[in-house]
Amino acid sequence: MANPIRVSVIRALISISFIIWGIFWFLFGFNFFGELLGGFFMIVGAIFLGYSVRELLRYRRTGEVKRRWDERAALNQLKAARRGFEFLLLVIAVLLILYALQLISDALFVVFTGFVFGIGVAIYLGSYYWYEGRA
Amino acid sequence: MKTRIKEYRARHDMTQKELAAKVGVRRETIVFLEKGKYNPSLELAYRIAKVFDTTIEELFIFEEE
Repeated sequence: MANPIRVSVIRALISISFIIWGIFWFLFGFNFFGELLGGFFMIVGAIFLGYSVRELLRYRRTGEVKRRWDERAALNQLKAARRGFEFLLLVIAVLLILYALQLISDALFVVFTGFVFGIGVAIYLGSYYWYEGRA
Repeated sequence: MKTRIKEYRARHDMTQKELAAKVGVRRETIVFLEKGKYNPSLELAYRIAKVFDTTIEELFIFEEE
């Protein structure tokens, strides 16, 4: 049987990789948006790392793992994913039109795409917790 | 949709946490079920009914809007 705390360990490792990636992006990002994206990933990584460490400490203390996933979570994840997808679809379509009309440069298009991706992830996470609080 | 989960839970002297563990969901899901804010899947409804040794119709009261 799989270790019940393995999800928290995997989440902690992913969070650390997010933080490292964010630090690199922040330090070596070639412009303001690169630094912004780096900062975003560092914050997200730090939040999830804190969350995972708390879970691991609770497991050590009580031996219990709090259930994080069920059918309601799956449903809310689907709803949140739809919100994030709709945002990405709309904004990337606008970016492509601007790019096709040569209103934005290649570099700006790449930077905006990364920025939009970050916002899309934030919308997805925010929507998930919003739905979780409602039903 | 109204539910009688809270009533049955009290009858069986069971906490939300215990019921959640028995049917394999989070405690919060039981809270939303009891408030009538969440419509469970047929499978979950069946599992809850089985815990209380009753039927889905007895536990969940569907109201036409």
